Amino acid sequence: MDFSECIDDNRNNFQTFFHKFDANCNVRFLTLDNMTPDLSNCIEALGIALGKNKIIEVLNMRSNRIKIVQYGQFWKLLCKNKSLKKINIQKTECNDNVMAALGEYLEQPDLNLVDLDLSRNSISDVGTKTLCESLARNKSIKILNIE
Amino acid sequence: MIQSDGCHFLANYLSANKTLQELSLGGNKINNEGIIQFSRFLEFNKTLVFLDISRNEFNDQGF
Repeated sequence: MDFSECIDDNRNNFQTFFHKFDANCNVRFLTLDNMTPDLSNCIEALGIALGKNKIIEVLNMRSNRIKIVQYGQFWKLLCKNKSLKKINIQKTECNDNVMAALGEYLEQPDLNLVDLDLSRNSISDVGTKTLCESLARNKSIKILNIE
Repeated sequence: MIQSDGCHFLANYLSANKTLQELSLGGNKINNEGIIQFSRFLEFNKTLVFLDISRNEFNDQGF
């Protein structure tokens, strides 16, 4: 399911929409690239839903502006999801402050995530340290992009 | 952007890692000092099969 470049700027519409990606949803591929709506306003709803989802395998969220607090909360909520195999968050303003929450997700012992694309974000040496410490406990990642 | 210190952490991670097969680090700020730090992992890691370090800041001296 591809909702890239969607221009509906109604926050409530997306909150309602994202809640549908919970345990009752059979979608395996979800793409939300370059959305006009600010995902910060509804990404928590997506995190809650995906935390209950046992089917979804691919999540693409390239080229979105996501605020730090909401982004961190998203990763914490996503910790309950074990089905995702590929996540692309290229150019989503992910920075060192978000890495701690992302690291918490990556450290889950029963994670199945194989492919993680963090390219074109704002990750410095500080964030790289956090990332490496988390990846040291990760047993699933085979492909990593930090361009 | 990843620089020298980041390379140190990556080298430590890769030295012990037996899972990661592809790593892309292109377009960062890895200089000569960084690439020397980073290359330490090569002696220990037998799993990585693809490595992209293009568009960084090291030169012949780093090699």
